[in-house]
Amino acid sequence: MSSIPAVKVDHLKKHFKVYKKKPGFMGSIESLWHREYETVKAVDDISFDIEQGEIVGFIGQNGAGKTTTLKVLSGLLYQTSGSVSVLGYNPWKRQAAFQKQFSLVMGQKNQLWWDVPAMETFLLNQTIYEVPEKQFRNTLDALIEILDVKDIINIQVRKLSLGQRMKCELIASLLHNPKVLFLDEPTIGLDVVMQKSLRDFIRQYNKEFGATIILTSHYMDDVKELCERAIMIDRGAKVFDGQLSDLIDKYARNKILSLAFSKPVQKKLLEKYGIVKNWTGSTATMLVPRKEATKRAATMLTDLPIHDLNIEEIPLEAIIREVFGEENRLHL
Amino acid sequence: MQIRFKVYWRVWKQVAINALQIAFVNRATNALFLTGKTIRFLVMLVFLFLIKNNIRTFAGYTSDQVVVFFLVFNFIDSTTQALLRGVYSFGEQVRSGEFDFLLIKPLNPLFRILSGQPDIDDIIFLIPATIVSGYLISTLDISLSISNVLLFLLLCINSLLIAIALHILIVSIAIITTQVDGLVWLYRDLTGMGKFPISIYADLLRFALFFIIPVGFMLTVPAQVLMGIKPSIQIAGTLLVGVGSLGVSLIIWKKCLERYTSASS
Amino acid sequence: MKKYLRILSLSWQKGLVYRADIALWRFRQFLNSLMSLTVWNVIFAQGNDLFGYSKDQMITYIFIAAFLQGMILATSLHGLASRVYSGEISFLLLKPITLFSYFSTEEIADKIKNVFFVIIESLVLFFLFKPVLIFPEGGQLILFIIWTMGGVILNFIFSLLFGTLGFWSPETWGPKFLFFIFADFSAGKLFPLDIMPEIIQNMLFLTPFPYLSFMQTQMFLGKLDMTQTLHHSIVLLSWIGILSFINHLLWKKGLRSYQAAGQ
Repeated sequence: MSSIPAVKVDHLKKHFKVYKKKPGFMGSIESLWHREYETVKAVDDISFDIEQGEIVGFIGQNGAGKTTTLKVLSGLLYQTSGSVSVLGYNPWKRQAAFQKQFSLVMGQKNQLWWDVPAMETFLLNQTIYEVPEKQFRNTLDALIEILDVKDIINIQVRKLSLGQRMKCELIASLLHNPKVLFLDEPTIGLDVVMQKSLRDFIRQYNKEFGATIILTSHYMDDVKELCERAIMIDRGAKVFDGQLSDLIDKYARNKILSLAFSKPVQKKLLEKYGIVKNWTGSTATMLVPRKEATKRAATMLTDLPIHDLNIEEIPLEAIIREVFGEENRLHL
Repeated sequence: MQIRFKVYWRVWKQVAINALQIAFVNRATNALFLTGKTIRFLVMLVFLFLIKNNIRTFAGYTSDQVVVFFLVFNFIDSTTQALLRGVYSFGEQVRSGEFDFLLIKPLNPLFRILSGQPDIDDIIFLIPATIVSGYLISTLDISLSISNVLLFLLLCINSLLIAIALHILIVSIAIITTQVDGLVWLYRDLTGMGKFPISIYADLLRFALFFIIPVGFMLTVPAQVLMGIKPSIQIAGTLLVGVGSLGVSLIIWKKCLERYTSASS
Repeated sequence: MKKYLRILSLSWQKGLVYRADIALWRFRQFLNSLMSLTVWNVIFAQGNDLFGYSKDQMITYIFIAAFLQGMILATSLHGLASRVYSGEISFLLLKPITLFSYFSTEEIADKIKNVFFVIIESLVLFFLFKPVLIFPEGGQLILFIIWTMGGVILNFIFSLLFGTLGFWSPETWGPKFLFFIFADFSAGKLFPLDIMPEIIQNMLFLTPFPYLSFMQTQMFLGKLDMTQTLHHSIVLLSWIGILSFINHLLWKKGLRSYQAAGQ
């Protein structure tokens, strides 16, 4: 690892002005001469450093400011205040030397030419990024191999499935071997198998090229599997930055017990073992303290007519929801 | 900043070949477009020749000269449309976020936006239309000299600069409003007024078409120079407007880019 | 009734959201009228009778053509084919309202809006050019209004016909562009169709295009006698009949293949 961080964000702020329309016909008429604007603080004073070769996950709810941060880092948006640098460059200046070393992948957006095969976009990108022929072929072959898309790169893009298209998008973004890679919801809309193969690929890319990767995702599995470090953002502010396992240890006090009974069991009977979340008589879901989960399950097995029992971690989503809950707002 | 001409040229070539491929896939549509453009051109010519046969002078110009104004309009308009067609899809590119991908590439985003999809129909149309125009001009009572033709060609390049400047203005506004169609069509109609010499319009409009939206410099002055008529504005002034408007539009582009909000996902 | 008013109001609201676009669009119409009026003023500086038109008749023609463009040719159904292709109209199919009454209501809302703007623009142009306009007598005016309604229906059918293209192809711009070129040429503000050479006129009169504005202007200018009026009324009616029959068939067929494809 080098001493200069790959990504440096210092007191970054990005505010937008948003126009508010009043509902209804009269509202439309009124907006003809009078418009109200509201300032949205999409990113409000965030700082962090990312070392070269790290994979960092951005987590947070919709509209928390994850994508906005990535867009500022890519030079798409001009920050309201603060400073950012990527590989020592100011992204906003959009110098070619910088742009040749990074890439942005957005799961919901296309750069591929819709009406021609993906290969045409690859070739165009080769020209734009000035990738030497030999390197281009090697990278392309490697990417095609890993992503298993040999047969589809010569088919019109509009005829591809979402997953196939996403793989081609990834190739188009990686042909110039970027050192820094921003992935914004790369697995959105993909089925579970495809998600997994993309994750494997991202990990492999990180290892092989020593690339620095920032990833945002809705799917906690993406973050859990790929990122050691997570940065949690809520309403434009950073609320957590550290090891993902710390986050779980810190906030996941409970585990989930799912039970199925061979004979109906009264709710009251269950309540002395933990918090009952759900109860039908023949099934129940309960929360039990993390550290005692196994012990309590064992006692319940001997005490109650249980024919099926399951112990699960609380999903990361739920933890985050809890962390971000109105009453539990953290100020770290 | 070093400009990588070779890269730009190669990118343009590749993009043009792709456009050609797409045009070929949608060949029926493109044939219809080409037919439409041809009909529009021919009908306008019929109209102008009707005028030519029925009246002698047109606001101080001979009726032959009026035909030349239109032919020059058609040449410059088709050329700029052929090269700058990419603007039409820019609104969609901003809304869909495709614009983001243009911004992160090591290539001036304006280059891709403006020249994004060279219009194959216009390029095909331009060849016979130019030949027909040349032939018609040779039959008209117009005196051409080599120096005037050369000056005319120089002014055509200047017109291209003005057209580029106006298109940059359109996309700059579109960055903020994400709507481009209304403005492009306004541009088309404003330049369309240059089918006739701009000097025929009422004072205020004439002033606007020279000094607010420089359509007069783009279309009327080159035609006047071609025919050896004293131009409404001096050639030097016209060239200055070309370079100046490009400079101003680039400043506006930069300012608007700072306010870009990027379509959120 | 209430639901139609609701559609009407919604479509105006949509218009207000895109008010910049509408303002630009109307401004462009205004510029076009301005260009025509200027050109013909220049031309008529040469004499008072050209191409069978007096100056006043020609200027009146431009005003009426501008009005008819907003009334007849402008349509809210431009995007219908892509709405059909993308499957957006399936939502409409589910609602307890027939597709055509929905579209007509949208169209009526659009026309009211257009006419409102055309009147304002015409007033401005009138004060700029202070022309002498020709107005028809009572009977002709009534016939003009009836023919204009006929033109509105004809164009509505055309819009629906273009919509059916969406059942089979995403590429609908080509035919539409050609339609616009013909409509612009046969109903344009720059010049009336009847100054064109005979042969071009004769060819166009084999198509419905002259009935999308040109004949209405001729009625307004009082250029038609009894026999001509009768003849053209019959032709207009026949076109409406023929095209609505084809339209009916194509929608029926299209919707069937639509539902079969499960879009």
